[in-house]
Amino acid sequence: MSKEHISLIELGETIADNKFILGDRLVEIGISGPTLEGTLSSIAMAQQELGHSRLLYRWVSDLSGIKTEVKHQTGKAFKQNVEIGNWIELIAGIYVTNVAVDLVMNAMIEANNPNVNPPFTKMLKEQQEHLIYSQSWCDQLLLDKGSIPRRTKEAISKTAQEAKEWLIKVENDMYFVTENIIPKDARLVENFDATLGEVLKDVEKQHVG
Amino acid sequence: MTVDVAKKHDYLLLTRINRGDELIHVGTFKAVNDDLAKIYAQHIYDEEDWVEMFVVKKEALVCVRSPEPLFAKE
Repeated sequence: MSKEHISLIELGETIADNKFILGDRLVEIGISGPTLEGTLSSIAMAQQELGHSRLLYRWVSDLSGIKTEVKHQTGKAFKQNVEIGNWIELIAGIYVTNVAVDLVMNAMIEANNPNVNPPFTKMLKEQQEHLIYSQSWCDQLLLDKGSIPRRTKEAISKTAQEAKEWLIKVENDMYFVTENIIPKDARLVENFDATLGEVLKDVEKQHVG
Repeated sequence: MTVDVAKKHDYLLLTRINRGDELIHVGTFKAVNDDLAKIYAQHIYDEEDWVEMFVVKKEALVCVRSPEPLFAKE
């Protein structure tokens, strides 16, 4: 296995690990969500996130040629996602992680490298639903009362910091660009900042004083 | 200062099981917008492989006739 090939495996495992952890947290924390609708959706999305992670681990396994039974994540999930302990952190984690992952997946689909063949198209529709769900919930929490808006902003910022570091690493990986795995002009970090900025800006507009 | 917490609306879910079947009202739930309502509908009411699903805000229903009250108002 070449050193370059390892970065593609790492990328696949990072996405799979985050989805694996989010699937677990969506059940553990989501079960005591603030509304019945939010909780039922959370459980449905947990199954989907775990399904995505299973597809991704299988893809990574095909790339590496090593077949292993997945019992735990490989340690590449964002620390903030692993430590999710309440509804606010859960919503921030799902939203920020899915924004970052969605940008990378779409960039790889756009590159259309026949040697990579990632299984992303199968999961994009469900992932889009997770983005709408988590963004709607972020909006609700950012408009809520007391300390909730501040805590939501903090949770978004903490996960965003980790996600951004990962995107910078992916964007600057010469192997991805030279082998046309990620297009040269993907502008992952720029698009990530713009998307998160929109969510926070929309809420600022609705605050007075 | 926060102006208002995101406003929740009551939504009705209408579905058709097979082509040609009647459109039936199968449930009601709350959501803050249409996009979230569509997701809730699919995640919560997944007991059938519906051929058609609609969500509509309860406030959008136009009343044509309503039942007479059972008791006179005091």
